[in-house]
Amino acid sequence: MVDSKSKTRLLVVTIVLIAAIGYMIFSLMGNSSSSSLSYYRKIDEVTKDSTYVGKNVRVGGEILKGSVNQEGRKYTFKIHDKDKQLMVTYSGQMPSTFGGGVQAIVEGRLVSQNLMEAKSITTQCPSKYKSKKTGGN
Amino acid sequence: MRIIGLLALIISIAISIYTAYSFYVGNKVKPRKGQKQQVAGNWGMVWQFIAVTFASLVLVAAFINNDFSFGYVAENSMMQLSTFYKISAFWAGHEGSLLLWLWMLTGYTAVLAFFNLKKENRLNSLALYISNFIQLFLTVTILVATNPFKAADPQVAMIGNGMGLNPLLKHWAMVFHPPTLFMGYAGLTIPFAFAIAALIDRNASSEWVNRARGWTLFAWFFLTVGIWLGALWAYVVLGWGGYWGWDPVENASILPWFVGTALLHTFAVYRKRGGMKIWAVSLASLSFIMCVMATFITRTGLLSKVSVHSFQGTKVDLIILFGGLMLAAAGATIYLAKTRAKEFETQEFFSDFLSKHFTYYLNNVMLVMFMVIILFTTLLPIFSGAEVKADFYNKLAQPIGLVYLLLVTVCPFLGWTKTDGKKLLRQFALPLGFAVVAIIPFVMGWNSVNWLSQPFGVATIFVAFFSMAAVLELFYIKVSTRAKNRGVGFTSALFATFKNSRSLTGGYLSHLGIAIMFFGIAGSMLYVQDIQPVIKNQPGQVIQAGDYQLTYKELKQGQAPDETFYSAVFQLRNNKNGKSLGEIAPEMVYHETQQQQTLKAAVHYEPFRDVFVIFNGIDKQGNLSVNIKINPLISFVWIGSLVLVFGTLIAMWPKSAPATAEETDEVEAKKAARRRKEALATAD
Repeated sequence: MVDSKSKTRLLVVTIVLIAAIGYMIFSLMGNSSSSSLSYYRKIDEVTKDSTYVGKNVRVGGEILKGSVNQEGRKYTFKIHDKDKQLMVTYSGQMPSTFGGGVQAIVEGRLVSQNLMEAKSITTQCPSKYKSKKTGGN
Repeated sequence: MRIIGLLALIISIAISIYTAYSFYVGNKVKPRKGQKQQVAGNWGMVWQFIAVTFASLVLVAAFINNDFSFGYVAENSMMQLSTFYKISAFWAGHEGSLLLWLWMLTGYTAVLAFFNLKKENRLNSLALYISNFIQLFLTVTILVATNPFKAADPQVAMIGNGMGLNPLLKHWAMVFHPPTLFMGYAGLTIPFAFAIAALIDRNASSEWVNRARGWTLFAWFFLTVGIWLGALWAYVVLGWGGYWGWDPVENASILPWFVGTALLHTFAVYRKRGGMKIWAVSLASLSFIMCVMATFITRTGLLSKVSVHSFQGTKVDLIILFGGLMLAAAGATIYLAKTRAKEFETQEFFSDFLSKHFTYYLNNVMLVMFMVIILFTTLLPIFSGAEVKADFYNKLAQPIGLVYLLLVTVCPFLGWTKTDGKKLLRQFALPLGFAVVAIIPFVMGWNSVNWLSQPFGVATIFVAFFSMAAVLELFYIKVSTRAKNRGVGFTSALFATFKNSRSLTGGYLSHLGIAIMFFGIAGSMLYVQDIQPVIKNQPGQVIQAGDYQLTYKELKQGQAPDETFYSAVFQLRNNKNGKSLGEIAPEMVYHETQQQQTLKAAVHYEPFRDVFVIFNGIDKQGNLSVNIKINPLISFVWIGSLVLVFGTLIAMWPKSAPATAEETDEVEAKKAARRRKEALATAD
C-alpha cells in the first residue's frame, strides 16, 4: 500500500525536521561561553587544582553542620566531602530544604581554591525518597 | 510478620509459574481442548493479585503499628507521623514503590482475567500470558533486589523509633503523586502485552487495538494526573516559584507520557484506517519500556552517582535487572515486528501533506523525537559527567512546543487522505480573527512587559488563542451538522454528540486543555516579576511588589510534633484599587529529627496572577529575607490540565449501549471469517 513517491516525501520531511532540531541542540550545547552544559566536580578536585579558579563549576558535597551563616540575603556555609572542605557564599533564593547534613550541589565561580561564589544551589532531590541518615556521620 | 509478607510473595511466584504453564498449554492447543488450562491460568492471575494484596497489607499494617523490626518501616516512618503519612510512607522508598507497582499490575491483570473467565478470548489469554511473565519478573526482582520485608539494622531496631519521612514529602499532593504515576506505569503494561500477543498470533486486525485502547486511556489518564500532581507539589512546596524544572525525576515521568500520547493517536489511525500498524506495536512496546525507564532513572540511584554523591544509593542489581527487562522487551518487539512485517503492513498510506495521515505521522515523529532528546540529555551525566541545565530544555521546548501546538490545532480539521485547502482557510478565518483581537492586550504592554523582547512568548499566546477558538469552532461544526442532518435542536445535538462520539469530543476537549495549558505556560514563563527584599523585624515595614503591597505584621512561632515553625505574617493589599486581600503568611519549618529546615511558600491566587511569597528566615541581626514572585497566568496551567484530564475521562467512559465498538468489531471479524471460509469452500 506504500508507494515509493510518498515514502520519499515522508523521508525528506522527517530528515529536515530532525536536522533542524539537531542544529538547535548543537547550537545550544556547543556555544561554550553560555553553554547549557555544566560539569560536575568533586571537592578535592577543585581545591587541589588551581586551574579551576575563575571558572564555572558544579561541586557536590554535604553541608557542614554549624557552618551556615546568614546575613540579610547573604549566606555563607561550607560543604564537605569527607575531610575536604569548600567555603561557599550565596545570595539568591534558598532551596526549600536546607541545613547541616543536607547533600547539596552548588554551581558558580571559584574565587579561590577554597571559596566559591555560588549562583545556584540544589539540595538532594526528595524523590530519592530516602530519609537522610543524619545519625551516622 | 515479615515472614508472612515474604511468604505471600513466594506463593505469588509459585502461582505465577503455574499460571505461565497453564496459559502455555492452554494457548498452544486448539481452543476447545485447552479450555481447562485457560480457566486455571485466569484464576492464577486472580490469585496472584490476592497474594500480592496480602503482602502489601502486611506492610501497611507494619507501618500503622510502628513495627520497626521491618527495616523499610524503620527507614521511612516514625511514631510521631499521622496515620495518613504512615500509609504514604509505604511508597517512600524503592522497595515499597516496586511492591505498589506490582500490586497495581496484578490488579489490572486480575480484572482482565475476570473478563476472560466470563468470555474467553484468545488475544486476552495471550496478553495475560505475556503480562504474567512481567509480574513474575517484578516479584522476583522485589525479592532479590529490593525486599521491603528485610529485617531492620539491629542498632536501628534498638532505638525503637524510625527515621521519619522526608519532610518535603509531607504534602497531600506528594502523597497521591507516586501511586497515581504507578497506576499509569502499571497500566501501560496492558497495551504492550496486547501488542506482543497480536504479533505472536499474526493477528493484524484491529481487535487488539480495540481491546487495549480503553486500558491505555485509563493508564494515560493516571499518568497525566500524576505528572500534574508532581508539578503542583513542586510549585507549592519546592519554593522556587515554578512548577517544572526539567529535573531528571520530572523528565523520567514525562517520557512514557509522550510515547503514550503518540500511542493513543496511532490507535485511532489503526482502528479507523488500518494504518500505522508497525508504529502501533512499536509505540506500545516503547511506552512500556519508558515506564520501566522512568523507574530505572528514579529508583536505582543511577544518577545519584554523578550528580550528588558518589555511589550513594546506587543499586547495581536493580540497574542490571531493569536494564535487562528493557532490552528483552525491545528485542522481542523488534524480532516479532520484523518477522511479521508482512501481516502488519499499513492498509492506507499518506499521499498528501494536507491530510490526517501526514499530521498523525508528524505527531508521532515529534513526540518520539522529543522523548529521545529528553532521555538522552537526562542520561548524559552518566556518559560524560556533564549535566544539561533547565535553560537548555526551555529554549528547545519553545519552538518545538509552538510547532506542536499548531499541529494539534490543524489536525482535526483535515481529511484522512486529502483536504480542500480553500475550505480550510475559510474555517480558520474566525479563530484567526479572534486570536488577533485577543492578543492586543499582550502587545499593548500588559504587565508592563515589552512584547518585542519576548517574541516567542507572544507568538505562543497568539497560537494558543487561535487553537482555543479553533476547537470551539470544531465543536460548533460537528454539532450543527448533526442538528441539521437529524433535524433536532442545537442543544440536544450537543448532548447527543457528547454521548455518542466520546472519543471525538474527548479528544477535542483534550486539545482545548492543551491550548489553555500553553497559554498558561507562556504567560507564567515570560511575565514573572521577582522581588527579593530584606526587611527589619519591625511591624509596619512595607514592601512594594508590582501592583501589590505587603505590610509586615508579626513573626509567629508554633510547635507541632517533631517540628517548630516560624511564619512571617504580612497584610496583602492591591495597590491599584486599594483593596485589602487579607493576610499572607509564608512559613519556615524546622524539623527536629532531620535537623533541616523547609520553606513553605504562601500563595495568593487570582484568576490572572498568583502572588507567591517565600520566607527565607531571619539572620543574627534580626533581618527577615523574603522572596516575592508575581506569577501571571499560572492558573491556566492548572485549568488547562484539568480540561485535558476531563477530556480523557469522556473519551474512556464506557459506552452504555450494549453493542460496544469492541463487540461490533468482533461481529464483523466473524462475518469476514465466514465469508473467507465460504470463498475458500467455493474455490475448492
